Amino acid sequence: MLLGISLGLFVIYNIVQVDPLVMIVGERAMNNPQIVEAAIEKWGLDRPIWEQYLTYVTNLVRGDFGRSFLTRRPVTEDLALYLPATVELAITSLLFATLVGIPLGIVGGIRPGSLLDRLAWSLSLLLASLPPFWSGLVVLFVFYYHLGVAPGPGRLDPRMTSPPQVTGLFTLDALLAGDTAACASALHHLMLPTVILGGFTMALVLRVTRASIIEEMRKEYIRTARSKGLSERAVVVQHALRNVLIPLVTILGLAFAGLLGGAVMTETIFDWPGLGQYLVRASSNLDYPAIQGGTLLIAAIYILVNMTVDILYGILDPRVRHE
Amino acid sequence: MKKFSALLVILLVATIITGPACAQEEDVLIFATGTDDLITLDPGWAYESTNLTIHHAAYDTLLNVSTDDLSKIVPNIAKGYEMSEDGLVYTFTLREGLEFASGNPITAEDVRFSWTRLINLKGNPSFYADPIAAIEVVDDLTVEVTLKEPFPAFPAVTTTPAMSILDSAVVIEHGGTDAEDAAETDTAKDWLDQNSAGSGPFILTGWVPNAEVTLVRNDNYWGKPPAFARVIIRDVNDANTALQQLERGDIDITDFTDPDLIAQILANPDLEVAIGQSLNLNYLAMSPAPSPGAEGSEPWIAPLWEKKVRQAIAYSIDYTGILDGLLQGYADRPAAMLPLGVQGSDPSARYERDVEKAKALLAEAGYPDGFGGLVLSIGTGAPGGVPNETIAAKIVADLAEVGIQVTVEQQPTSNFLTAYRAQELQFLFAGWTPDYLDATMWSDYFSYPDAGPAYRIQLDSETIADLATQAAFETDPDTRTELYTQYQNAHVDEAVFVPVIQAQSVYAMRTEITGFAYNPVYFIDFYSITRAGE
Repeated sequence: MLLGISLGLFVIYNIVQVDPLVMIVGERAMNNPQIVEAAIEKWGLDRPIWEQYLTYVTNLVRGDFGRSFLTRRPVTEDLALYLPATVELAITSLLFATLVGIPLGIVGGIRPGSLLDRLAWSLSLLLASLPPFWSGLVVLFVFYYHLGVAPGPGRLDPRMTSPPQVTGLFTLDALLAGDTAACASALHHLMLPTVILGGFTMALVLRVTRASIIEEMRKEYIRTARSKGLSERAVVVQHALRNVLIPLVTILGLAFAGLLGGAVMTETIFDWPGLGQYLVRASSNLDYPAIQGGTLLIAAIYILVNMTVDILYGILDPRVRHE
Repeated sequence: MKKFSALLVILLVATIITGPACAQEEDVLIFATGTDDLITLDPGWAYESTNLTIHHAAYDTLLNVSTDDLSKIVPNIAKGYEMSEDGLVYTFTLREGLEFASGNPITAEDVRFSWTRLINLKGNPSFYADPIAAIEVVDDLTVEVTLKEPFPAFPAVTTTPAMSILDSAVVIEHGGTDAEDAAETDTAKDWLDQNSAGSGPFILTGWVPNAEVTLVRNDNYWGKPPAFARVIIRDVNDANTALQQLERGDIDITDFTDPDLIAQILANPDLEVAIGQSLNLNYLAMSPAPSPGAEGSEPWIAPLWEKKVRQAIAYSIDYTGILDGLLQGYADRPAAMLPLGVQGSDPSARYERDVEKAKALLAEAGYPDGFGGLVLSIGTGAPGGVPNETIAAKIVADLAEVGIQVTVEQQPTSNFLTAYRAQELQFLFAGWTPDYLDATMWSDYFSYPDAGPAYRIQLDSETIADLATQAAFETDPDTRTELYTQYQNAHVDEAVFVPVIQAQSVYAMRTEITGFAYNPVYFIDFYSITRAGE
């Protein structure tokens, strides 16, 4: 499957006629034939297309995604640099979505129409319908610029330097370096982008939880559970919620993969140096190795997440296991 | 599980309320800019824009360009230089007793090593050293450079950050070499991306791509100690949020502004604006040839090969509308491809809009009702924050008023440049950014039928080429200025290249920041900046 995607990308790139040479050596240096020749040889631009593809796939198998025309670094290094920022934000967004979305969904599902339900419903509508490029600017304007309670854009206080990279997750790396101030600053800077990026997923989780709970609560096994004299809490948590988990896991899996690949707007507004920004820049500069590397990575993440979701099904639902 | 999530929520809420409780003792200067152009910070490989500012802070060049008078070269780590009578040999004498940040003495050998490495890396900035034929160390403080042919702009070329002097011992220790096969065997780049090996007022200590570049004070600096203990260059990519950070005092200076935001900056008593006159030109080019350069290609429809038609187009453009209307007055323009501030540039000769004259010229050329079929090619880009397509739309409207019908064709810049380079474009809007400040930076490229944009647009004028050569090799400054003015006027008459915008850079900063001075090569000099009240 990944091979298919790589071939597709390669074909597209060669249909769009581009000359990467200008981009590699720069405008002015094109006048110097020595520099141009050195670049053509170094980047293998004089070889036939099929040979370029073959080299590319062989390298892929060895875990070598090639070199970005734009950053001149190996694409693997670039991805290692940009992916963690996105992963960190995706994890906190997913945490936010589940920790807020599921409880609110349960409450709303148990007592549909109550004040709390209506409040939660409106909140989810708001978060799901506001585009991040707008809501991101608004929350920055209100909470950072006017009230001064939230930090500004970026991953850290502007006066701090990034912790030495181990995992690339600033919160973890700062802790590993024993720098609690940097860790606190990193957590602090995650707040606003998390709410903005996780808002849509939170709304989704809330709605699915609520709808499934309402549906489950009408089923006969709930009546049985109640008639056994179980507390309402045990009925909801031990019985109803278990069945709600299946649709939830499906959504969360897809949402996590989506958060990794689709955070471009949030990343731009919050100056978040993540994968989305990297890929947008690569695309607008026709930086083919970077586009292909990033796309393959996202495809691989989708496949991995789907596999994980399938395994989770088996754990959550014994019926799936039997087949 | 529930307890865990409750704990997490409490933790998160606590950090929101308290925020980072860290206060920095030392004084840090924060400069916010777009750093996504950075590819490497090795002076031998880097050929972008932001790196120039960083290299100027961390490294020294032999000579400098005077910030007050761009045509004046002043001493730096070299006391001065002497040129042989035939103009081929330059002898530089270093100041005595200077040291690199590492404590190693700065010697003539370091000069030889740095420039030889630059040549042998065969990287993008290696062409700066093209004029050099040989470098010879005479003694510890004297170095003799022989050129391939006389090149009066050479002292100006040595001021560009790519020609910085590196600490050869440190570079060699980290895998650097000046050997002929340095392009393959030099491995110092990875180290030089994160560290510097220079003698400038600051030392590079780290670069996180698309996030930050950190510089710390060089305690070993040979001049007076820099005011700031640290300088952080922070990446921004939204002008609105950059301004918010500036207003809140999270950053000190930014060049990431929009013409639309300047009124807001000026209205804030804590902020001020400084204008830097860049030497970047955005120009219209009109091919004097009847068809694209490739043999057997179809002739163009629009008659730009008529000089009078080109002049008519130059008279039709509403320059004031573009500069004051679209760029809000934050730009200027010279008469020809010699920017304001460069030797010989004289704006009094420039084209001004005159619709009647344009129509008369069209009539004389045999097109009293104008013509159609003209394509204006543009790449992506936004000089002075205004997108190319907006400027192109204005040009289309201006030309329609004299009866010339134009369609716009926009492509990604790399494709646009490829077509331009292949002589396929008849009418286009493009830009030119200098690497050093001598007039040859323009006249070498916009004059000869076999070089640079002049080749691409098929300009073949003996007058222009002759004047360019005479001026380039003239050693008497006054005669040289006079020759460049003649050269400029020949360009105005030919009307092949018509500059439209000489952009200005707008810097917004906190009022307590003093000593800011814009330089068109390295833009901002952290060393000259101080914070008032300290």
